[in-house]
Amino acid sequence: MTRSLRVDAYDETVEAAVAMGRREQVGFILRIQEKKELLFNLNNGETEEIATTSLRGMGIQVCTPEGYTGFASSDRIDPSTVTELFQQALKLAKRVEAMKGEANKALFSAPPNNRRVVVPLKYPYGSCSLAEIEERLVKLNKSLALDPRLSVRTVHRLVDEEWRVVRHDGTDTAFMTPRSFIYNTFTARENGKTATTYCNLPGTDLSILLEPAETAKLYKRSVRAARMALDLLHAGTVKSGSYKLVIDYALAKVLAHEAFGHAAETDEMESSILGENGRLRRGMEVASPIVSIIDGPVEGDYAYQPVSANGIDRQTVYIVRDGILEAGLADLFSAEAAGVPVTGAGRAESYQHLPLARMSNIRIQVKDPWPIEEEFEEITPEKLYEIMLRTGLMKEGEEVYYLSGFKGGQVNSAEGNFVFNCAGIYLLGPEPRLYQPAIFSGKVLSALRAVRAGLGPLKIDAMGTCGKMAQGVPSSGGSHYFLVLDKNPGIMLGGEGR
Amino acid sequence: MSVFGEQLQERLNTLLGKRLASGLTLTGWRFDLHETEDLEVGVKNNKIGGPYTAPGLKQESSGEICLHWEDEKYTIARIERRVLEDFQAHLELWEKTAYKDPYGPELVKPYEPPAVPLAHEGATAILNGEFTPAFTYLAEGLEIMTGYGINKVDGRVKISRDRRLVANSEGLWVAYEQTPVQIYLGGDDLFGDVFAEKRLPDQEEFTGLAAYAGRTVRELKKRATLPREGEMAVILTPSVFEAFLEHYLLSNLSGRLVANRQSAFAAQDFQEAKKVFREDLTISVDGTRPYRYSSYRCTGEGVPTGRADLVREGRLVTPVLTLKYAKKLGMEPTAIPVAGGYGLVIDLPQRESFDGFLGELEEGLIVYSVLGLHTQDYSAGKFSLVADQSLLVRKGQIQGKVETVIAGDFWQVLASEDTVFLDYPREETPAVCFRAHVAQ
Repeated sequence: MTRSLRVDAYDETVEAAVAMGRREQVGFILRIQEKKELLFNLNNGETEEIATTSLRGMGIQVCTPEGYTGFASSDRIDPSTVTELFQQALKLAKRVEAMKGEANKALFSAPPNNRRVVVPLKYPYGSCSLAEIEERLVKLNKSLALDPRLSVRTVHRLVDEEWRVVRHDGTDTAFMTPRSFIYNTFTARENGKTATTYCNLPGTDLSILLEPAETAKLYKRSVRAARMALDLLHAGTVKSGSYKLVIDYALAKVLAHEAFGHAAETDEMESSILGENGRLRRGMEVASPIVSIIDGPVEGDYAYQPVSANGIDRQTVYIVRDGILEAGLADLFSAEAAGVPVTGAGRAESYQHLPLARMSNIRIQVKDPWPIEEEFEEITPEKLYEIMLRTGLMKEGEEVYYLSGFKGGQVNSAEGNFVFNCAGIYLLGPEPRLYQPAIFSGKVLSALRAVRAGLGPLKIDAMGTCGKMAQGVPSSGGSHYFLVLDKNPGIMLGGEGR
Repeated sequence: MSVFGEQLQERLNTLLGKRLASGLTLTGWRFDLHETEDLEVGVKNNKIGGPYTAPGLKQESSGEICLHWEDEKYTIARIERRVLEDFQAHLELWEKTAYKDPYGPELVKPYEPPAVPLAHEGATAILNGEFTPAFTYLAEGLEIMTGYGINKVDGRVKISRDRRLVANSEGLWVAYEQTPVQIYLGGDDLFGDVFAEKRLPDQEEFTGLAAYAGRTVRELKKRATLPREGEMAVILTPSVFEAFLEHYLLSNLSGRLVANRQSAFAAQDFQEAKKVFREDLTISVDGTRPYRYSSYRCTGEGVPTGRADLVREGRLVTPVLTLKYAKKLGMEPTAIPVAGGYGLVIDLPQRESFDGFLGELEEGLIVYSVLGLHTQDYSAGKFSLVADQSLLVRKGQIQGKVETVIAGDFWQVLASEDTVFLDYPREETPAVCFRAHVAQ
């Protein structure tokens, strides 16, 4: 844990900020960010773009003793710049005070923190030649041209990011947030019809490209997505309605993240369906008693962040335990008002942004899940049907739809509406029939109360980017391989009347 | 900016024609640099400038560099200020990330692009330290909206100054300043609207923004019941229509997607000027309009701004083309739409008045917001979305808010002669009315 980080180089800047804090008798949070990024973009066997990004800078959030806040940031990191930014931020904070704006003194109650997190990486940024990365990606992309009707795009991103968060109270914490992914997009075209599907493999380093087990996993996911795109060219549409559903872990991640996690973030508690008069409704029954929802950093995960952007350790939180709302995702500035302890949930996209309460890795865990021995990638819709019959979760001839893959989602936390989309829908049966993707929408609490069973072990590598308040931060999560949801009038599949 | 740009130019020019240790020879370069300053402040839950919306001043110098090497090799990198401090290390990385691209573009020859006015004195004054107007917008917005009975007002003001420099080794040197301004006001987590231009709003525009947001939220607080499910008239308000145009039309007009067979439109469709939409519909980009948010003087590659029809009288004209995809498709590069659907110009010979149309509407929905648009397959054109903020209209009267799922085919919307385009108050983009399936 003694390895040096790039952000260690800014001790003089840190000292200058601390000196300013003492001189002005105000509190502050200084965030220093260093990021290097590699992006590969390939289309149909050819490299279209290789781009590098280099970013560094600092932002300082100043808080007067009365609790008024100002902020300033720059892409220069040096003692004179931090002094200048400090003065600008303080001037703006005083402007807020003059306007009788919002005051929040939580910064003065945070415990000091000097944690340092160096993530061990097997294949970090710079460990493999760019030529080899490109060669492997081209080979992968070409290997997925399974049919002349398919166009295949591969994107690979590798991010080497470090943060240092310093406060007036002696806090000086540094941590890494490395991440990587390979994302394949398949577009099938035939006779004027098109269908697009996706698959991905997230990680923290180049293992996703260099470890045979990882590349094999990605290949299996890719072949499945490619075949689905081709099959969708001839698929019909599902009649809209309420059905018994099976969703895979990627869709379950979206359910947890979009439909529930955002509502549990304490900085929006004034308008959340999980809040009452601005306070989290702890003890409220929100889900089936077999359901727990957990959020927290997982080392090796795409969205790993061990320390918050306010310099507080990020905790693993049981938001829901056995169906009962237990805790919120609370950052420093909103925890008290929401009536919950701080859990270190503050995250920021970059040094230029003010942190918000955010998720990291969120997962739905179900009591006594039915075991599945095989890997998730091996479970075809046919096998899923067999498992559903074997476990008694469906009867022969019962109308059950399996929603496979995800294409994102959106939620209105104030009203509890959610919308997700999947890559394709199968009517389960001895010969499952594929239908066009359709939205899966409804009321958050209806969906969580409808969860009847989990199938298989936990799988929590579904990745995404959360765009709350126009700040993009990596997110991830999942559930058991599959969740079974009972038919519920509050959950609707599709929107067409056919 | 010019100092940074001049120093970078000098460093790059010394390398031109030289064979480097990696074996690469630099034959040309271009860069697009931005030196930006932003002032941002917000109101959250009626309170100005709390820990999530604190006033902030941000400074950054960043941009993109593209190096042209011998043997059709190219390097693209996003750069920031320290590139000059650590030039050799960056150069070594750029050499390593060079890739072969047979469709790599030529550099643009020097020219003087259109002198579009894009920097507003009022905005510049704020960034020079006269912060008061930024706070005043929020205070006034708060007052106007609470006057409509709004309990929870959220808002944001962002004023920027961007000193931009686009240059290349052929001698192109385009430097200009622009001042993008964005003001958002919303209420009760139901609805919000945005002003976005490269200037400050005048008093009437600002008051209009706050009053529209306040009025709409007030309407959305009244509840109604959807009388039936099935096909009915659906009106997308301009901001929702723009979001549809961005997701479906602009995605499929992307030169990259067309060239790589990932669009609903094939390259041949453009060559044949295939008729895809109704014949009175023309959709263009126009980057030449003074102080418009979507205006600019040239693209990052140096292609001049201009007006370009993407769809003319219902027929495909051109995809949106950067130099690379223009070369790949054997077409001319185009102006680039900025700010998605908001940056498109919709031309129609006839638009009906929104208020007049509404007064005659027997039954229908006005849609102010949809959830899940980004999850829809852009290439298929079909949509199935939750319209979470919609007003039910019956016999010309607004009944109140209903939550519905709407489904249809956006390509058919643009193709159908039955689609009605409506002049919407304060907006350049029309509202659009068509028939779609509506469910609870």
